[in-house]
Amino acid sequence: MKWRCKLLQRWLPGYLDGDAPAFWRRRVQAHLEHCPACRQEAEALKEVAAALKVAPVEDPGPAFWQEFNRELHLKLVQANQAPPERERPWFRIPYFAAAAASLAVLVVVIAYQMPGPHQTATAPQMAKEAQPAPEPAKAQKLEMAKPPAAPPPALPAETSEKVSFASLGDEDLDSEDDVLTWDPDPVLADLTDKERETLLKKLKQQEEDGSWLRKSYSASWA
Amino acid sequence: MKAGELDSMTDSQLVTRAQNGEVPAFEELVKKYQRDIYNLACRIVADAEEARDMAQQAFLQAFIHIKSFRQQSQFKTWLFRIAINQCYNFLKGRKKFGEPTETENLHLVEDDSPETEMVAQDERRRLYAALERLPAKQRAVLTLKVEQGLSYDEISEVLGGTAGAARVNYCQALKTLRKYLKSEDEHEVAVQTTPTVATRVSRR
Repeated sequence: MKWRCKLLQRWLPGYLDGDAPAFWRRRVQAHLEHCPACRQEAEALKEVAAALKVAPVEDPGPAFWQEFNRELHLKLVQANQAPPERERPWFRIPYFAAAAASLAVLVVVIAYQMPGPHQTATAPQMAKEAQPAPEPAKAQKLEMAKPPAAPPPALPAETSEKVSFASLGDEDLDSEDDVLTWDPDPVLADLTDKERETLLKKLKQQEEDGSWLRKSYSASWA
Repeated sequence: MKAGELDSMTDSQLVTRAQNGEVPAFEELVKKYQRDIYNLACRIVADAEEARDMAQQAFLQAFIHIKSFRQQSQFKTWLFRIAINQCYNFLKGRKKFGEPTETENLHLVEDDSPETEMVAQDERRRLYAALERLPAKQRAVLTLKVEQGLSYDEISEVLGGTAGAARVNYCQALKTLRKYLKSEDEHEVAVQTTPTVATRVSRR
């Protein structure tokens, strides 16, 4: 499937240079055995990386480095002799921070000095606190008066929840350490809307249906 | 302090000495990483003269701010970060992101056989032309991964972001480079079939 190829092709460079997590290494290896398009992609990426490795920037020669080090030495000595920056004492704070702090203190002082609702309502508040807890019938009425619970939000197009694929694979492919530790956002961002929808639909279905889908996924991963 | 003593010291020890103002200790670090920093700068700015200046500037900035380096990461990744920032600032100032530059400024292979040398030069020219077309960040990721051999975690320390993002950037960079190499091949074929074309055709 195309979306699976796109998902796994992100791990191809890591798979090729051995820097992919074990979970994805196994997934990619299993997928490459059955997907000629991804195999071709892997070969092409290997060639590009090899081309880059065999064409490094050439060393400019000892004369270049001699001159480089001589110039740098002069600059370093000059920098070393320059007077150090005056270190700000730890008790000095930036001017704007001091101004903001003073303003905040002033606002608080003014707020407390002005007569506000909290000063006049102190006695009634205390009386309210002394009242017993509301009766259960009243509590029920309060609950009924509450608006109905909002339906659970639909899955966003780009979910940031970490999804564990550990349940999808065979026991041979999974281990306790294969909990997803990668950020799926960059991966999902590259999928089209339709692909994203398809992926999310399948994940949802899997959660609802349970074991038979897990088995079918584990078979189709190979 | 003898020169031999510095040779055997670890980066951590050299950094501590450099933080106490010992220039020879810092120069030992320079000797160790100057080629890597120069190569990285060459890849990003695609100009040997400018890369030399960027490399010197990177080392100078590292020396000036060495006291702020707390050794929570490797000195090498910290140094790479400084070098890349210098290169990015230069590119921003020049306002020539990804524009073709004179690839002849970069040193080419010298081989015994003239034919082999020509083929190698031609290969490199194509590669450098394709690399120039990449965004600076993708050039940086490719260099750090392929030439410097950094892991994705280390690349994320140098460039910022997560290891996952570094992996995605590297994958994208490889694919884009492959696409540009392919288009370079096609351009070569097109130029060869029209020998009257004397100037380089701009692809931008």
